[in-house]
Amino acid sequence: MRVVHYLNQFFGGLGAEAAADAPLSVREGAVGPGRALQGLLGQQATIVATLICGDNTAQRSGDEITAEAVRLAREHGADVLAAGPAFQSGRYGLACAALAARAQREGLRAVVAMHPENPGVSFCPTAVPVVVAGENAADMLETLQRLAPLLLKVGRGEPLGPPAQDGYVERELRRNAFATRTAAERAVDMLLAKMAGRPFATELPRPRYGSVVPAPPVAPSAARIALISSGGVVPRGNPDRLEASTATKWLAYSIAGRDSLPPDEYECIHAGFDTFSANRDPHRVVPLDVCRALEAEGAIGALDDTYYVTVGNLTPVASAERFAREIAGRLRADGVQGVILTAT
Amino acid sequence: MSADKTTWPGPGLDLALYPVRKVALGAETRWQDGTLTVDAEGLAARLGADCGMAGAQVDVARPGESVRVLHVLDAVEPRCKREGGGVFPGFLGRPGPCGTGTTHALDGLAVLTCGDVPGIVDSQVVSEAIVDMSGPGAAYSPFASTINLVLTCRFHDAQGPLERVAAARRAGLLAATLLAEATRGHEPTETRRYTLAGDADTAQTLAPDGGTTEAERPRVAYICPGMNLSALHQTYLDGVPLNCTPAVLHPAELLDGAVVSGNHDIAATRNPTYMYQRNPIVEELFRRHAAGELEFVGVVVTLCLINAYVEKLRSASLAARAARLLGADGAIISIEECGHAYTDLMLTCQACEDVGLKTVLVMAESAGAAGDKPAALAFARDADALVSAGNMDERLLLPAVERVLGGDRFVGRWPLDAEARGPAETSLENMLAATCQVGPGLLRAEVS
Repeated sequence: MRVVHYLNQFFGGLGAEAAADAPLSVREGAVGPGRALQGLLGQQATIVATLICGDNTAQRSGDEITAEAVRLAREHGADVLAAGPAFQSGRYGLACAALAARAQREGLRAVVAMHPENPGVSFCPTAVPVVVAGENAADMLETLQRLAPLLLKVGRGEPLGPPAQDGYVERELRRNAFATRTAAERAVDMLLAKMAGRPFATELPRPRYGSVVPAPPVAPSAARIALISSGGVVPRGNPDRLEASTATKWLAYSIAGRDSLPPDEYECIHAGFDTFSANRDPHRVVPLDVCRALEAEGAIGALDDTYYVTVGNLTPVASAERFAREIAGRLRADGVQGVILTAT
Repeated sequence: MSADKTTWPGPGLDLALYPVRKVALGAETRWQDGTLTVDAEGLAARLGADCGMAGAQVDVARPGESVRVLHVLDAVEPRCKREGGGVFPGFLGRPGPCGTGTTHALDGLAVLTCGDVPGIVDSQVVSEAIVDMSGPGAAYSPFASTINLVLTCRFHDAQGPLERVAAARRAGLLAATLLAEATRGHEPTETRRYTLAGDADTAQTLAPDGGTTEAERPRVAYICPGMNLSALHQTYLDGVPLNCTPAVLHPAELLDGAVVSGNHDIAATRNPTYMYQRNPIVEELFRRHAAGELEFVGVVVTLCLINAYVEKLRSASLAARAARLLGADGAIISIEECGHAYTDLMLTCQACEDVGLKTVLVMAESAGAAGDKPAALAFARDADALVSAGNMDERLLLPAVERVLGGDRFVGRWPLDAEARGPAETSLENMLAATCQVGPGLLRAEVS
């Protein structure tokens, strides 16, 4: 069995954050953690090539990178593509997921490995198993010990055991079906059981929400501050077609030299609230006018030249997390220390 | 009307059922032994004149026919009062108590009010709502099982969206009453009594087989939010739009036309008027009350899609307090529409649990077409008992049909890019009451 392994710049040995813009490259055989993986695979499979790509590169040029990666994997006669382990690294996890999605679409079997709370998990097609990885590389050996046997099963086209047994993330799909009793009847049944202290089974379990530790506060007068909005204020005509609901992207527009967002040049395209007031005066959603005044007074050190926008209407949490990580990458690169985030 | 005063509520509501197994259009409107004949021209003329419309078209859509009904604005069951007031207080009569006396119902028939209502009101539009009478789409609407009198309203060009929906609403309610009048003087096949009065034969002490006494029966309230999304989409109580102060109703009032739907938003999650008249949760709670399994203490009508957060909190809290003051220990909470309506649902759930009420919620899901997105947009700490009304994002391929009623092309904010006749691919969102959260359906989403 021939395996092609995908690693990011760090695990590929190119360096850490500084090498995040590394282009996609291919090395023969196993690299870095791939060597330990090869040891666990023994004679049953060979890692014939390793693809290494910088996390920023993967994020920026997603489609081209995944297309090229799958092409290279095929060129090397891959029976199965393995990506990760990405642990909790968000960009790496998303890159693995995007690659898995491309591979799956093109009929190449794939397995990825990352922490169950890595945002990449929800972007991985459900047909591609996500091997459970720990929080960080301290868990590398245990993760690879789960990855190796699963890789073999997937490469052979064998059915997988239950998630808990085979060490991959249990991912729920909600599928419609017709019950034998109406929802009203089931509701009354459930309430009587709950009130009597008898066991009952909720049909919709409480989701697990992660909790976010806020970053320490910044002194705005000394900081570079950027404006971000989930309120959908975009240049008139919405030239980049930001969706009014269930947004699939975020956009960046220059506000260099601008001290206002006039209503004849900007509009609000959010479909989840009455945009009448926002369209009369876009500053009601994006307070550029006030921020420029504060900047002139010295209350804000500097307002960043780029304004970021998406739409929060019915946008899944996983998408919002992805947007945030991607935007944060840009903010970091531009030396931004704080953000004013306006919603609706 | 007698000058004597009566006490209200009385012993209960008697719903006299007149089944409709066959509908034909004919010279006069009459009901006989399960066959309803409808004078379509006469009805259309009366509705056009009385409701300020340019006219109306009356058609019949029967279960199993290759028919697609579009632009459904509301569904209403034909009802009239034998005595004891009028149906639809506030619309066809003064606001006042209902839910007593005898109401005639044409059982198995629904009036589907349809009409083309373009335009925007406060960023809101009238959404598409489809009923397929056969084929794969039929499984997803309760109105594929009723014989439907399709009332396609024609409006004057100058009528804007608010005038159109108001005219159509009046037409639907009026048509419902006029049709039901055909049963006056006839004997019903069945009369159902909806009562909360104790039955003298019911054991008041512990029965030998361990049945409960009245004192031991779990006391259950039903919290029923209507909705408001601009002036274009509102739920009405006694003819006036709901506001964010809850109202306590006798459950039979909900069944007797006190609440009327003016919701023309996402079709799958609408609670049409028919679903108040035949509210499945109310019916089930009455049934179990009669069987001695619980004590149904009352209904609290609230509002969802409330805009201001403090008003959301207040509405949730008042609903919980009202349920408690009715004597409830448990509550079923339904909901209408989706989006931040689920915040109202969850706040109400938590407010109830916080005052000692055990709750069960009925909720549809937005889990994405593949079922892999987080299903719920909001949750409460103590929301541990949910009934799923199905994933509204699942997609459906509607086949080509022979006949289309109600309209001639798909409408809405994002109209389907297909001929009305089909085939057309759509999410369940466009199918009327497909994931209705007062629980009429068998559809639910399950882990797979």
